[in-house]
Amino acid sequence: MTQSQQLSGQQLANLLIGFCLGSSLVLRTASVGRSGWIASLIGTAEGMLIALIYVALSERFGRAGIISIFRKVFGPVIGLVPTVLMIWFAIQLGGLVLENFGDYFNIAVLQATPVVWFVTPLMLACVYVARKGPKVVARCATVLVPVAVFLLLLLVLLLIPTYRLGNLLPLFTKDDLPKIAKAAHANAMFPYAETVVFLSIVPRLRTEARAFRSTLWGLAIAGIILAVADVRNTAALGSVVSSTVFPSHAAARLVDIDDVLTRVEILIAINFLTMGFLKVCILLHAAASGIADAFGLQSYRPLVLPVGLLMVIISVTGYRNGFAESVVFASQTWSIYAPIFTVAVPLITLLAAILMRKPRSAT
Amino acid sequence: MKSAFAVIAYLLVGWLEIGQLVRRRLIRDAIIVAIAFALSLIPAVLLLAGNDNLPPVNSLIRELFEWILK
Repeated sequence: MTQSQQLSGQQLANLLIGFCLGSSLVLRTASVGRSGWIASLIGTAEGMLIALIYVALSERFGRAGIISIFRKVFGPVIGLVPTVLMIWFAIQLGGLVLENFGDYFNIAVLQATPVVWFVTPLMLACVYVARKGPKVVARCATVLVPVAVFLLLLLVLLLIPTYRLGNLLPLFTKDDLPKIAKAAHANAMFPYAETVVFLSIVPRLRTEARAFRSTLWGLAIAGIILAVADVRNTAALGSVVSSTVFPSHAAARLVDIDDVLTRVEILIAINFLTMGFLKVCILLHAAASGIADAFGLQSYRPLVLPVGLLMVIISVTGYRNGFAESVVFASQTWSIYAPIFTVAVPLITLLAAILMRKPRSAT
Repeated sequence: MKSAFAVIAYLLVGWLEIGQLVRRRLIRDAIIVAIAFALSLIPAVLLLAGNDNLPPVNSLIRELFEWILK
């Protein structure tokens, strides 16, 4: 692989920020009202601790891909179990992100349009970019992430007239603590722990790039951005923030500068579109390259389209009761279900590698 | 009509991908890619044909976890 095809530490951090902002910038499933931003920051810290497992695992095996790490640690037969789990996780998560994306546009923007008409064009764009490789996704992130952050800060400024400091107080009441702990864990699982899929991108990192530093920087910046969004939404919406699924959208509706500048919800839609695009691209690459590694294929590219189609099918048929059930799944089931893939599998692999003293150094 | 068009386009892309691999003598890769295309096409065709019996995977997972935690 030439130097121009490899990722720098800065590009990895950008990708991480884009991935974490993905759907979380719009969809907040673990809101605890005025303490939401505290839960968000604690969740970021927990997410960073979990990400350290991924970095340790990757560095131990000389930044090998996750599938080859499984093969080295567990052997070709037992290694198939975590391999299948990680591929499934990437495909399912891709379907969930697409489903959130379609639901948002279907509920908040274009109500009469079927969800499949939102997800299919997005998926086609993602397939095109994912086939070009992580370097091209990283270049997209270099442009799109600053735009998303700018739009977020612009909304922070535009909403100043609506802020009520009382909406943020009191902090840390006795009743809130268990809720904050639960919401912090949910925030760690969605989106920070989902960065386990980056283990498929790490082999593309430049040798001199510091994975540890870039990962922590990327997650910390994403955490601060999400906390700022939480503070903004809570200060503007008050107690309503915990009962709305798209708080950023609801807050953006309040912008009204002298009846001239109103209805700026489209800024939120742009953020969701761009960051969701980055997240789906990364998940597509993770799933397709995982399958290609598992079967020893020369290239993952021919698999991107079939994997994309599977994600679209999951996004359309994933729930029996539509959006209402997806909210329950994201807020209650995901924080128990996701750790199987994001914590248990990487942690067991790391512990097994340490206990079995793998990889064995050449003698 | 639109559905049939989408399926034909998908098959055409699959045909081109597999053809490229065959030309490069990567027969094993071509077989695996063909299987991937076929496996992803089956639920898509069922969906396009109006079949509502595809398993709602996320609902099933949610129900399984609810049952375990009960």
